Amino acid sequence: MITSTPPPPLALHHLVKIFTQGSKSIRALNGVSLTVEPGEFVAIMGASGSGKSTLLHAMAGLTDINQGSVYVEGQDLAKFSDAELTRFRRRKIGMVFQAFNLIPSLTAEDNIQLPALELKDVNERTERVLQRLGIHERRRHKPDALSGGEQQRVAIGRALIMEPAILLADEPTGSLDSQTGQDICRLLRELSANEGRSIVMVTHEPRVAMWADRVIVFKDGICLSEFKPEGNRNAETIALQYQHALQANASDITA
Amino acid sequence: MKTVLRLAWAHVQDHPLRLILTSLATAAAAAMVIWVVSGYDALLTTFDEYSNLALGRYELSIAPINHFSQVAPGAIPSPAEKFVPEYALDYLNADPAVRVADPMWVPRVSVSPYVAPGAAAPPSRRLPDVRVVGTLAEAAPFDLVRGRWINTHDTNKHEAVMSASAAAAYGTDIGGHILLGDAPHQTKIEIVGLVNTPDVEGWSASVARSQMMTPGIGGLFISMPLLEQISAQTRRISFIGVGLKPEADLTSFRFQWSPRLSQLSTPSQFQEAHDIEEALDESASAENLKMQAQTATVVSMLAALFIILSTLNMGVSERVRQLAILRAVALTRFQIASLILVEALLLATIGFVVGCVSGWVIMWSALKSAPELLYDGAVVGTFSILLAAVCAYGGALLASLWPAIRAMRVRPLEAMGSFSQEKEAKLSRLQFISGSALIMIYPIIAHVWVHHDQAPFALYMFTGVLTTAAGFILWSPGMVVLVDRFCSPMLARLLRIPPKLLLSQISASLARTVSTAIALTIGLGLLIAIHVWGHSMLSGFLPGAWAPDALIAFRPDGIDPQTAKKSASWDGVRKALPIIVEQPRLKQDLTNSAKRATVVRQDNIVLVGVNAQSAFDSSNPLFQFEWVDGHAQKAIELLQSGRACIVPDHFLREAKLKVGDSFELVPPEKPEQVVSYTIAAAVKMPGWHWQTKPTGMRTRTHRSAALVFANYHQVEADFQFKNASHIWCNYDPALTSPTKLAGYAQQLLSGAIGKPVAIGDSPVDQPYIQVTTIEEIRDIVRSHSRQWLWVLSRLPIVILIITTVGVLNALLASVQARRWDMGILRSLGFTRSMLVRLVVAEGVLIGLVASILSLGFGILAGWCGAGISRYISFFGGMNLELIIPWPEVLSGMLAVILLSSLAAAWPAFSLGRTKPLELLQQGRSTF
Repeated sequence: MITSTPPPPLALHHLVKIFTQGSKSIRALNGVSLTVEPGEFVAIMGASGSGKSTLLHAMAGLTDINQGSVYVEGQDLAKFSDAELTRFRRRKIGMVFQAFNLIPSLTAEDNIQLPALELKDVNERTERVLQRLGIHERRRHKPDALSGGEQQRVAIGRALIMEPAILLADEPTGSLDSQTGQDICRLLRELSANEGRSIVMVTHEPRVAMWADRVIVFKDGICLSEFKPEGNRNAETIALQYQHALQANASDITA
Repeated sequence: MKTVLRLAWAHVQDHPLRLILTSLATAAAAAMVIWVVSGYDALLTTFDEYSNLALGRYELSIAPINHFSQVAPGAIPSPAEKFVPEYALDYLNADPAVRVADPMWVPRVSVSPYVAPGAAAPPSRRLPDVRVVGTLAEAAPFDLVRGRWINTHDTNKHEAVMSASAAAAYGTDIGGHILLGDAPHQTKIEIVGLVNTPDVEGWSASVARSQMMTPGIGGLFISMPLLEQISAQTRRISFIGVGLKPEADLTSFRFQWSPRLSQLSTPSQFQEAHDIEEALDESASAENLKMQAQTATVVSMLAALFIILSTLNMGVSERVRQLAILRAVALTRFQIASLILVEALLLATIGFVVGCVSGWVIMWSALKSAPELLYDGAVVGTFSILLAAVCAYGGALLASLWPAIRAMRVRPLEAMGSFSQEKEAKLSRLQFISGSALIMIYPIIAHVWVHHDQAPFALYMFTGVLTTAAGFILWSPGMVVLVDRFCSPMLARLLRIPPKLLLSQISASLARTVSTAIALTIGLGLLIAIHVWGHSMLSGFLPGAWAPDALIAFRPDGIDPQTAKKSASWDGVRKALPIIVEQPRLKQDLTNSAKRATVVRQDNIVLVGVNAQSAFDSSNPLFQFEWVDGHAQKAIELLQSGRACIVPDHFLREAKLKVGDSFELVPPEKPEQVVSYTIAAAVKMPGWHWQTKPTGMRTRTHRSAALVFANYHQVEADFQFKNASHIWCNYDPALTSPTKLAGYAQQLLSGAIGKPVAIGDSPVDQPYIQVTTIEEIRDIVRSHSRQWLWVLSRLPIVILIITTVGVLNALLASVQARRWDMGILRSLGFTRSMLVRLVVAEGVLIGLVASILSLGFGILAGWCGAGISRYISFFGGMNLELIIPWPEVLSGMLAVILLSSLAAAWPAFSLGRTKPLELLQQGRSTF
């Protein structure tokens, strides 16, 4: 019996993204290829201006690319029209932002339900998400009545309610204090490990990247190298490994 | 859709004040529509009731087809009279189905109350228009309330039957009297019966009724032979009242007769109740009110549009990041657009419902306490509700277009970046050039092109107004930038605000400022346009400097001309000349009045005979004319040597004549002796129309094409005059007065005829003199025009007040958006008072932008409107001069700036009360 392997939640093939500013061209992505396996938690780590956010935007179909392809669950995002892409993104891609980006006029519950309002079982889904994220008591509060951590949990809930193929998080702890940030990272870790969520997270902080299964070092639009933190979930170790990767690249260039 | 509805509802809940203000403004606009349109609905209701009663005891009436002359849009036409041929009556009487066919004749005859000798004159009051109907009918067309019907064959019996309501208005009853005809040829008539004619409510309905040839038009019924005697005309048939025998079938009668009637020498048609109703509904009065209703709807809709546009635009600008998130996680472009649309419809629905209810309540209160405000009556009918819906929903839907497009253009990626700012506003050359090109179109249409009568003027006006408005809308961003650049520094200094704080405030939020300013411009621009149009049109009607100071009429028989010359030696009189006045018909309809009648297109002229040398001699003329074609000296020579005349310049244009051409006149007393006059010169004669109106110079009929001057003796000979009818004079107000002049004239006439002479209107049979000064005439004209302009101005003034809400909305949003900035300023040491002045200054600047745009639009639209009115208005044809009534215009502009400043008061006050830390916190939490 031949069983077909389900396509990976995310696969990038030779992505190139060029920004033009007057006569200058900037290659934000320079032939990036990446595959995220089901249930994998990948951190993309790089300095500011490395192109990691552009990479995330390309993964979500929020920006056009000049070359290459993005596949989410085997679907090439380039083949969709704008409306089809929006609907696909709503169903298959969950997004978490640094600035939370909740709708201030909606309650926590309403914000979570936003992508799923047309579904018949939206209320059941909402219950599950609220319970899972531990914000059941705060469901009727508006964002301005929630703490930063609670707001980010609501944002994660909004990203998860459609049970997407992939969860993309752009600096999810950037607006949080260190303790709350660690709580969020732990939550993402649990979602990946216990529930099999596939997560891609962009960060520049070693103490955030250490929670991932795999860390990809990103610089100047390319994946320099990658390593696995397992057994070394230690910020200093991650930072050292990151520096090694950067230095190795620098030596190669010099040579 | 659920998502969209939930988001829309959440957004409006978050901004309750904005929702309330915008809905209120929309409601006010809808209520305005209800107010105006209710008059039209009332008219239709009145017509419906009237048409069922207008025929009286007849089943049908027969009248000429298209009794109305060319209908000039926006004006009540002077009917070009048509009559049913006499032989039609013979045909009808020969039909066995006809029980009775009563011809009726409705000439223009003046009706005046009779004052018995020795009795006190009744207090001056507005009397209804009573149409005199000559008839041969053996029985009254309507139920007799009291008394008896007239004897229709005995001309010795001066008797009439009057409408009961008209008799009550004239203060007469059975046994009382009424005067028919113009002084001095009036006839006293006894009222022998009163009938119940159907009445109509409202001015417009009365005008429409007076143009509908049915028995219902009659206010006074007299015998046909008597009417011939009184009017000195041969009888004609204006319409025939037809009664059928009981066994006759109305439908087959109509079917059989309709083709025959249309083939008469004057094609005619039947009128049953439904035909009458249809004709009334299509009458000029109804069309006028319908036009007013439609205009009010369009203007109110525009006001609602720009207020809602301003609100929706602000909503999009403030929520760019939210919209980006929604695009990223949930909604397609179309759903984002739907969100804006749903918000617009919500505003429209609240506005429509509240507007209809409040409009009805206001109208009901007005009917109870001030019914004179609703001179056409008021009924909230289907048309009112429908147009109110068009105003609210039409405005909202149109307003949602641009914000929806803006919202659709928000990219999901914008959720990642920082808050997007509006680009810095700059002057755009392309916008300026396109705007200028559009603005040039209307002046070319109105003043450069020469049009024929059948040109599509409605289309021209619509195109002209649209292109002018579009041009100024394109200019508006540039205007905002210019006002910001040049007026902000001055205003900042005036209000003691650091100039850099005020600079760029209004141009930084260009979309908001532009839409708010345009909302204000709708009301003020329209107001200025109305006043410029009105005053420019007025320039042809206000008696100019050419007119002498006073005109003294000697009634009823005039004064010996040699005696009249003694007036030159009265104290204070600089110059005085006796004149004779006749109003002969033009033998040829030179001005094409049969095709389209206007104030300068009529079939007769007012001819004044005067001593040409004294009147026009350049050293000390009585008439200070501006000679357009020809010269004074040459004209005097020609007048003295024969049948020559001086005409107003527009007469040459309308009659397509030139100096040297001749035209023929028909003397009323001897119509077989046609006389020909040659045009010696043409002059500017602004205001001749009103000069001749209250002074009794229109001796034969109430309209005339021109005031023409000829030599005294020639006119005397041609038109069989013995006496001078008037003295025209100039006087020194320091040495004499109209009262003294009246006294001198009284003595003069009394001495000449040996009888007592009264001053002013007198009982019948007693001679009297009447002095009318040119200043009195000018006051009458100005007072009429002020009244009329006030009536026209009410709508734009109300719209202006409504759109001030838009300013309030904009300033509230502006303050909200800048709370963090304001918090910083307070923290740095700027006082509350300074912040308040800053917000007020922004209101003033918005008002200034609106005022300047309105000034430009108003002057252009008004001037071009006056230009087109020459072709379509009954009052068109006089020479036009652009007159900008600066007191009214500047008052309007000042009012707008004041209203904008007042609108700023609340946001400024609320800002001033808030503590600095609160401002900082509120400002930062905005997303």
